[in-house]
Amino acid sequence: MLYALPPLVAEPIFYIQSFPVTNAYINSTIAVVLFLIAGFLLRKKTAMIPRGFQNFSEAVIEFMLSYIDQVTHDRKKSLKFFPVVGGLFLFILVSNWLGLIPGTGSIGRYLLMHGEIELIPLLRPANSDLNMTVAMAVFAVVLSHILGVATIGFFKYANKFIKLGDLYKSFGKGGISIMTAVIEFFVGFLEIISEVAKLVSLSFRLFGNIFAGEVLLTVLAGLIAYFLPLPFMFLELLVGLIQALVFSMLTLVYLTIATTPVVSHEEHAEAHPG
Amino acid sequence: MLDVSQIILAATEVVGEAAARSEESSSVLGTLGINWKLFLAQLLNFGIVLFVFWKWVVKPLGTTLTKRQERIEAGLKNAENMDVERKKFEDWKAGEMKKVRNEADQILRVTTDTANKIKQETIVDAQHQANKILEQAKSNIESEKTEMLNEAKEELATLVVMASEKILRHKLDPKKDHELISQSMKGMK
Repeated sequence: MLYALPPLVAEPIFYIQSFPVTNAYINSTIAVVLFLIAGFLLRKKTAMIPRGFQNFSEAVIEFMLSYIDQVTHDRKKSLKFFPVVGGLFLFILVSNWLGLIPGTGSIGRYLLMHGEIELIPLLRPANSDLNMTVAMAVFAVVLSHILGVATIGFFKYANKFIKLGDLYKSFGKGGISIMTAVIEFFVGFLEIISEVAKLVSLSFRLFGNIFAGEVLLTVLAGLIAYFLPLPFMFLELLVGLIQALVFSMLTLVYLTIATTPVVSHEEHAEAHPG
Repeated sequence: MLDVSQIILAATEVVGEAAARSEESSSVLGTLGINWKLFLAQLLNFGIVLFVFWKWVVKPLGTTLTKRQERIEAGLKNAENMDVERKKFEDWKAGEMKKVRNEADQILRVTTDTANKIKQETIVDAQHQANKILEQAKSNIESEKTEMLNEAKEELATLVVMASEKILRHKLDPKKDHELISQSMKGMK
């Protein structure tokens, strides 16, 4: 084989005791270092008349906040979710774009892999490792549940999934309400499944897109190394942005839904008669 | 260069490899490369990013943004208040100007009236004085004239007396009498 396609799993470059330092992990660590540098530069920049880097960062923050406002319709909520959603967006964006820097996938070490010596790239897009995307998805979903419980209370929040409360109330009303409550009780189970689906869809969508992009670029570079991959690299820039946007927006929606009190059908009917 | 068949071959190899690994690890997670150590390490990396973003970027810049917005709002409100105050002041100024102008007009009117009155009075007074002086002059002239006439009468009487004496002293012939009378008349003139 002349040109090795990137494998599904990130390859370990070296080990620290039993911990495998993979190429994707190196990339994500580089992103962390970039964030540390940016944070270090910005932490004391609180001038009333912003200039340079502070001005740019403020513009980015304001843009993202106005975007978040469109989903939450509440500046207070936006400010509460912003550190998570904005952090997710920027981290995914930076990680994705880092994967397009020349050298990613081409500079590496010759290591023994599956019985033969192969060139293992030192850098691999951080989000083309499922560990990274699953970690972020788990964080986002778990955080949405924690905030949900903290905002609307444990029992009300649990009632979203196990609707025993609604079922109990419906017995007092009788008739069609019992039927509705029973159906909603089973819908509650679907909600639990959908929470798992959220995890899977969030992580696999990002992983799939970035990994596929990497494979596509490798294949194209294998076919014709010059010029042909260029439009696809632009496409990957766009994909990197869109995937960052999708992941963070979905997280924002999950957070917003989780922190919004549920109005049951009965309560809704009482609030809006006719 | 790689042709399409080689790519397909490579892809088949990747899938086959993954399947082989799957058999080795005998778990889906293993096939997908999920490793709890790496998972925690990546979670930690992400956690660091979030912490840095929250603590060093969002907090200071967010506070700055809020403060700036408050200052801008306060500034705008101030400007609005200033406008209202300015309008009030201008209204007050216009009112005061009108008042002052009216007062000035009034003062001017009163002054003009007073001046006219004084002028009139002065003219009347002057005329009165002039008349008085004229009267005085006339009466002086009259008395002087009377005095002069009296003096002239006295002098004439004296002359007549003197002439009578001369006539009486010399015997007068009609020629001398005539001459004497002429001389006396000349002396009178």
